[in-house]
Amino acid sequence: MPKNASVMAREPAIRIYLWMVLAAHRPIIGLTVHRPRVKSRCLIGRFICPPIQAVVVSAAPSQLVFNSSEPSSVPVLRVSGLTHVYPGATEPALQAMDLTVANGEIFGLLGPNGAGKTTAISVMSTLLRPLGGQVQICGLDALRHPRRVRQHIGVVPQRIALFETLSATENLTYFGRLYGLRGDALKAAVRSGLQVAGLAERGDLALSTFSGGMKRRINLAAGILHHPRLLFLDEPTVGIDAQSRNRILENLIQLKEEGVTIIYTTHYMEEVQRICSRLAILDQGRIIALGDTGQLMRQHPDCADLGDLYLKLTGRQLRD
Amino acid sequence: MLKWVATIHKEWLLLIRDRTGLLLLFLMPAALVVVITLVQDNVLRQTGGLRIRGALVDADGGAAAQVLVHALEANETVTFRRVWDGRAVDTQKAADMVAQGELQFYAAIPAGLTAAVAERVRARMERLVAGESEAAAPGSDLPEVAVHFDPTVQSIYRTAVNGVLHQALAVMQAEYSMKYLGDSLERHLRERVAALAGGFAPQITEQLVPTLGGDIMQAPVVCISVQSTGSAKFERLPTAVQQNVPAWALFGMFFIVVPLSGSLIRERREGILARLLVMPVSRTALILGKLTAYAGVCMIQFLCIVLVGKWLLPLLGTDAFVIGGHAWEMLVVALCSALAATGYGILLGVVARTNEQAAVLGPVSIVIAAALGGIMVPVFAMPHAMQVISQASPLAWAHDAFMTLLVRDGGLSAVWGQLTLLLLFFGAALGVSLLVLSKRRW
Repeated sequence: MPKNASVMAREPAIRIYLWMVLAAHRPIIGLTVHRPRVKSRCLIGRFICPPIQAVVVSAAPSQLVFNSSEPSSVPVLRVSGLTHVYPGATEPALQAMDLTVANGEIFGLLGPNGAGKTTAISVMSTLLRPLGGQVQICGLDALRHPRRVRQHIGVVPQRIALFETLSATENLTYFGRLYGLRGDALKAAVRSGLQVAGLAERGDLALSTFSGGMKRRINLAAGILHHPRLLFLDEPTVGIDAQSRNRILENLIQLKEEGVTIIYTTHYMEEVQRICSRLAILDQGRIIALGDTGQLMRQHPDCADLGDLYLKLTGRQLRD
Repeated sequence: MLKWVATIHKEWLLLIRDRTGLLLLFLMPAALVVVITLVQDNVLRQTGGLRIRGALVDADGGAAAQVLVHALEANETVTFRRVWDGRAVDTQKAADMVAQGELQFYAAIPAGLTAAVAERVRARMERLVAGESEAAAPGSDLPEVAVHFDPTVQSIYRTAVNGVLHQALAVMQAEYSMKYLGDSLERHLRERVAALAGGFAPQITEQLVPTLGGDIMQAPVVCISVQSTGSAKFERLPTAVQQNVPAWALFGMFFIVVPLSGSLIRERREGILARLLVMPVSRTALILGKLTAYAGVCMIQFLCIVLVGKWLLPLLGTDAFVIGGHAWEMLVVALCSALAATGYGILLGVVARTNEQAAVLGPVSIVIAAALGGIMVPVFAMPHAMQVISQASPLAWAHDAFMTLLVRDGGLSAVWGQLTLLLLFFGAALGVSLLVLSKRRW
């Protein structure tokens, strides 16, 4: 995509169409559409849509966002020097954390309780403002433009953050609307979400009637309704049966194939080995190991598996 | 805008699904209004008397006692019963009935009252005619009519009973005074005439002083005229219905803080709010969506209670709630009150850490604000310090605005001060809530 582009069109209908298309995509593709200053003889053109010759579409290279299906060399997530200390705490929750995650990766974030995983996800997902450091998502500065970044990310929290008395369809519809989906696009997204969750036939039932596994699957579906570029998953398979867990992992692999980048926290090492392309082990707010599973295992030949490696790096003492 | 509407829709769905909660939201305030109005109906009724009843024990039976009994039985404020089951009530029977709660007091006219009154009044009139002062009277104990109250009777009722007794005693005293004044004057004039004639007084067979007394002394020479300070076309007393319908509707509306704060705390604790905050929607839109839905509930609540006052209460024997010509103004006051109530609910939901904290803090603070706001006791009846404190209660502002519209016949121009305070309270609560929300650790 060029840095600047001008389109010449004098027909009002074409101008209206182009203006609507560009304006509609502005929040998604991160473009700036300038209103023209050229006077039009057409009344509609003057007040409703500008002459298209004056529509200038510009985007700084750092703000460009690429089609999610195309591979890109620009990392989807870039974190540098991330530091955070909670008020009143003596130890920092995050200490100068650096991380880069490329497009289409499933990146595992491991660590014992209190290591800083949830804080890291909170900061990266714009929920929490860090004390220091930078977060770039899809090339956008997440700390300066949190609202714009939120359009590109999905978050699946550890808790089942859904409304129990609403049906699955109503839950997904509400979250879809908050992501800006409307009309047929919303209906399609909800239908697709129910299919992903394997609950297409039970969409009208209240969530309170669902099992833990069904709720977890809807919890995931609510986070991907808007086809995010980057998906944060905080222990999405806690406390569910093997079938539901398998379904969720299959869904995540499918999302990866569709080009979605995933940051995945879990305590289940076999899940990491199965789906993650790379991982970081976090302890006391610091990344103590980073790389792909094979690479890390080769660095520690005395470890039989990832579980052994994890315990070796983080220690065997309890973390209460 | 659409996200705000989506949030309103979601809140409505959640409210509709909670049928028990919804029933409580609408039924409880309506029940409160009906019960309180029926309980207080007679106290504030325009034409009603006090529902306080007592016995009258007449141990004297003389002329003075008869005058007293007649005066007490003729009053319209307090009921005195002298006969029970066809027999005159004696002291023991009266005391038993008060102890059992059938009567609230009894008054006992002592034996010898007539003789004591006659003697005392005659002596007083003699001194009056002779030009002596009352200070020259020989000291002696006054005959007394004893009143025995049930200990639970409040002082306002005691004052009413004492007032009626004083009035009756004054009637009796005036009648006896006139009678003995006439006698004393007659005797004094005859003696004076004899003294002036030097012992050769003519025999006067006719009475020199006409008979004094009768009801001429009881006829008023000044009357009391009660005027409303509102407009002349709109004279209305604060009946139980006019007082209670807006008052308890407000109370019910402010109780919205319980479900509203509960909903917010639940969303916080279940991680829903954290999830919403990482979506492309502003905190303000989320909070305003919730607030709009609950303010809508408040308005429906208010309309239901107005309908109860207008249609249901008259069926139960009370006056109907009269809106007058201020329907729109009432809606504006109700809307400002609803915003203040929901703003407080949001603040409570943001500040309280647990549902338990909000479930205690919310209702208790509303009851305190209602008590201060004149919902239970009129503000003018409070001690001065409490009257000053009551000016800080949002319920006082809202209640005062309703009373201005409904009883004082004021318009919006007369209540703009209260409306401004309610809106400022709403704005402050919302501002603090958003600030706390932005500082909260997730």
